[in-house]
Amino acid sequence: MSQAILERLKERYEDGVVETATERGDDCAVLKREILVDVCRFLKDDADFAMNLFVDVTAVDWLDRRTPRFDVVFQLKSITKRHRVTLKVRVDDGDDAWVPSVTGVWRGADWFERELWDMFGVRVDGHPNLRRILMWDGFEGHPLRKDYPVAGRQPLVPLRKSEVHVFENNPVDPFVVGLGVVREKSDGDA
Amino acid sequence: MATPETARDPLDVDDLPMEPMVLKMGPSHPTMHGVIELTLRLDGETVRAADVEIGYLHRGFEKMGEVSTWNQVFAYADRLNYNSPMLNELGYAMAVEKLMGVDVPERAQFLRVIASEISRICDHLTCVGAGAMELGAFTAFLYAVKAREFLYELLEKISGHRLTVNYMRVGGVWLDMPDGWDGAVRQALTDAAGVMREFHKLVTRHRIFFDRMEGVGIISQEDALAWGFTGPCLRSTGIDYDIRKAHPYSCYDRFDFDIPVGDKGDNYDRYLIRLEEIEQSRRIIEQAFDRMPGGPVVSSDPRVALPEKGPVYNTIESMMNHFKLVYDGIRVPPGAVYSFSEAANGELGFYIVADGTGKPYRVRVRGPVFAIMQALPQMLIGGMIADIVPTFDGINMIAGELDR
Amino acid sequence: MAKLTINGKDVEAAAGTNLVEAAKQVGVEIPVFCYHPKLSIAAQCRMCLVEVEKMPKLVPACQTPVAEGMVVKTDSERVKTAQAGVMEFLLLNHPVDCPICDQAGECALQDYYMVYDLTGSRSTVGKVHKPKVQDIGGGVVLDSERCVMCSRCVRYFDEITGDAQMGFFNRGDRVEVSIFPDSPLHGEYCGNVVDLCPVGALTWKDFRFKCRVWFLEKAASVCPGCARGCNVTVEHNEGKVFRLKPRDNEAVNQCWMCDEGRASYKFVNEGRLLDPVVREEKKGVTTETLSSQRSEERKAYVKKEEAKAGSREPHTRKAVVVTWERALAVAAEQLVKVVATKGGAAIGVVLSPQATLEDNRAVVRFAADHLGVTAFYMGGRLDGEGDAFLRLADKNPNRAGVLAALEMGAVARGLAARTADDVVADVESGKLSALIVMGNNLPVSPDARARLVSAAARLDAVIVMASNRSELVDAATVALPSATFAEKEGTFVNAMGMHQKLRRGIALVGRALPETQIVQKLAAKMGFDFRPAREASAASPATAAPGAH
Repeated sequence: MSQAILERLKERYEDGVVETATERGDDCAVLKREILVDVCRFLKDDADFAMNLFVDVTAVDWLDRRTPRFDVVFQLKSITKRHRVTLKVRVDDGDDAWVPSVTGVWRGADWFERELWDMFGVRVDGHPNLRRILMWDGFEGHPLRKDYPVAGRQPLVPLRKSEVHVFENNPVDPFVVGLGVVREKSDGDA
Repeated sequence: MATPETARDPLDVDDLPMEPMVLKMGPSHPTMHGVIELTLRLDGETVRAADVEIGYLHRGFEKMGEVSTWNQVFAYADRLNYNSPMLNELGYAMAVEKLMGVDVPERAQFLRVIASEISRICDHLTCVGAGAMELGAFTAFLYAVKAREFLYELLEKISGHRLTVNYMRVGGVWLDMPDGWDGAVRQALTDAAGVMREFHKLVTRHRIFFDRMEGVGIISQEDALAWGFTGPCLRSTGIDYDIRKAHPYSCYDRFDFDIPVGDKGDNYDRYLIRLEEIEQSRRIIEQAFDRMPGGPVVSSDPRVALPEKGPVYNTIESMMNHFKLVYDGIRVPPGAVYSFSEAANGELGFYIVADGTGKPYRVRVRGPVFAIMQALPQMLIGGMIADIVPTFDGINMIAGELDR
Repeated sequence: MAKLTINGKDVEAAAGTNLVEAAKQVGVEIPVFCYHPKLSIAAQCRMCLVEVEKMPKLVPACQTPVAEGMVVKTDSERVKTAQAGVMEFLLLNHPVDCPICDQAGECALQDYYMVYDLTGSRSTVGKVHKPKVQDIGGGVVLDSERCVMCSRCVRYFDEITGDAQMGFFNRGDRVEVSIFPDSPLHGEYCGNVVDLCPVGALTWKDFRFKCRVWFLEKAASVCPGCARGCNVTVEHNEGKVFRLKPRDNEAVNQCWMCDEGRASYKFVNEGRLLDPVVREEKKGVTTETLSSQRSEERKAYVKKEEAKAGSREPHTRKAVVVTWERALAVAAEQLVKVVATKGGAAIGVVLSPQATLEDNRAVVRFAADHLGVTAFYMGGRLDGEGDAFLRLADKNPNRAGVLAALEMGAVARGLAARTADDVVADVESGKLSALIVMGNNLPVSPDARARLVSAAARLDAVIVMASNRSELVDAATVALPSATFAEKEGTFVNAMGMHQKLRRGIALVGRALPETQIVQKLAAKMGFDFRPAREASAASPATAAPGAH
């Protein structure tokens, strides 16, 4: 059933389809980045395929095992036709780490693409709101990359220094909380 | 001098300054099940814009999956949608078995389905119960969790845990059901159904409940599909899609059950669908017990399953087999698959990549609620603050599944 | 060259290559027990049997050289049956020891069982019992029940060390490999036999029950035991080093290591100087140490230090554990004073051939360029025994590196490294007023060492950068904890002139820092603009050891 999709894609896009494979029942097409949005729109609008549900997008980081480094994997599904397909785009690190957004085809790709950026650092070009989603804004790095350690540490919020208020005739115990006086900390260690 | 004509009516608000107010709801808020932060721009009581901030319960499931063995991931999978742990485990087990090509014995399949359906009922009970509570019906919540208690005891009997069950393994389940469990399950379901009848009487036709749920949080079919909805939320819009019927897996094709479908796409439909799904799950469980086959509960494939304890302690072959399976993990040949199942909230997908070692190379969880929550701002805008509560409840957002 | 096919893949191999090696070229693994590339062929275990077209019986791949047009199958049904059969025989009398066997996790039987066997046991009779847990000397423990009679150990002692210390005794299923009566293992290379043994029959006494191998993380490094620079793997877990195992490097150590080298990791774990210590007359500023490791050891050390301060020793300065800031400030102050009053020529710098090339280079450049030091000395350890195989008499891994560092830093000034005895002489004669020492000891006799320690009491500054405690560290005015080879990235230059890279294993212990960083901070404290050069490890490709990384 989904084999037909692979055949049709190869027919229509020729070189744009780098390779197709069926593994353990999953039909997968590896595409070139340039045709990705076009393929998605085609698969959604075509009456035979009708891929009306966007299921998932994620990445696999191959680090040193393979160049290009990332596999960006899309899962698409048709509720009406009861079939599905997997699309992959291979991108490398650095300037090459980007894919075009498919939010124009399915709005539901929104948060998934944000997570792709957050977790892997793969930018999504044309996304309406590319912010981090699971991590906080000041997070450094992209945690699901293989070179990010499992027990990674993030910079701590720096300790604030407050001013010391000492009353001339009435020296105040610095730990009196009520007056909000905090003795200034001296320079820390190396 | 003030006169009646010049006195100002305190209720005359036309010249009071009006500007939209930005209100943060959450993250630490009783309604925000788990922890979610909603930033709302309000015009009086009406929501003009909403932004959802998630990630407060992100625990790095996918990263931990890369440093655990294949069987150790089950303990993490439990904690995804923690109201229905068996469903998560089933989804993950199916993915690994699909990749390895392992056959799961029939009895194990039946046990898995029964456990999963019990979990589904637990999830739905929690959802409708908590939903009612947040609308003010505190007692109704207690009725629902009373029913849920009967089921938790069943889960405890079969797996040892009420919530974090760690019951399934690659190739089957951990233990066979204890004697008398089928009787206990049937009894518990009857009792739970009795409790839910009372719940139904208290809540479903209640004027206040109905007014707050009906016509609120509406989403159209097109929008639902565009956003990637699955599960009860999609079915509430009228689309008849349930993975157990559309792409039958495990042994679901052997059972007779119906899929409740709504038509308005509002909170009330979602509520009714969940109540009805509880009934349908009960049907499945009853049929499964009637047709339960005998046999082993775990695959006999030595690549995957731990050998019997007798040989493990007495023969070096089984000892080494056991040792390597536990310490190295199951050797899954290199490859990648995407496997999906119907969890309580919709399509739970696992995309796993294996590199031939005993640990996964990548475990991706596609939680159903992630897609649904994207649409939350749209469902909230135009409604009032008070409508946020039933809408949010109706989605059954579980932070464990959303943030992983 | 011969062209052949293995499992359908084309291979081209040099004449004389056996099929096991030829198969490796195309990523096909043929299981072996008795075969080892450095030992003679025994073809004893029969695990490597493969099917070769036109040959009626299965042939052992280790004994079969490649031939033109050969078609080899390692995954046919016949081969699989043979492999499972061999495993069954080997496991017939094998004890159920996995939970207590050190080899678990790196055991050939376990690994091959999961891939080539996975059948159950058909035996209905008990197992043959043989002596277990025998300490056969040389740091090796023998368990005869676990032995699979591959004869690697027998051949090792016959061929590599040449002293034929082990042999087979008895016959049939009672055969045991063992040492000769009343003749425990001797010699400096017994540890290799533990690496060779594919199962847990020969295990290393020092490592026994210390750590399970799957917990160990591995870092590629170089042995600090002597100037040979055998390539090793530092295996560590949670900040402790558990063992050193040899890495393959044809040019340096092939795949062997000496026993002395295997023991040379111990100083990383024990007797460490964890915190900066300052000895001064004043009451001193004390702050709590920040190091959280080994607090009992440290507390005992601090207590001892503070107790000693009350003793009647000539240098009754109070020893105080301080912060890095404070220690560097004191050191800077002392050095500035010496340079101002007596000049840089009065400062002696002892370099360390135990530290990396980069560390030595940083110290040389700092001392020569900024302090005006002209007196450099070679520190390190005293010479020991060498032999014709791997061990060298020079028990310092980086002497050539120290000389290279001096050359790189100070060639214009024609500076050379004088000996450690000269240090003692110069301190006693009053030529030096201050010392900067890398390392915790000097390679001089114990007598000379004691003289140095007492003479050092009269110096204006003794700044020691050491990883472990010693009397010299106790006599220092400022003792700065430095990192060992297991905590650093850097280069050792061995006696053959090869630059070999160390990779960091464990995190810095206590508050230790590599000398490069110490010198950087000290220079900053003194107001110098000092940046250690980056090209320290850029050796010419010809001298870099092949296979070293």
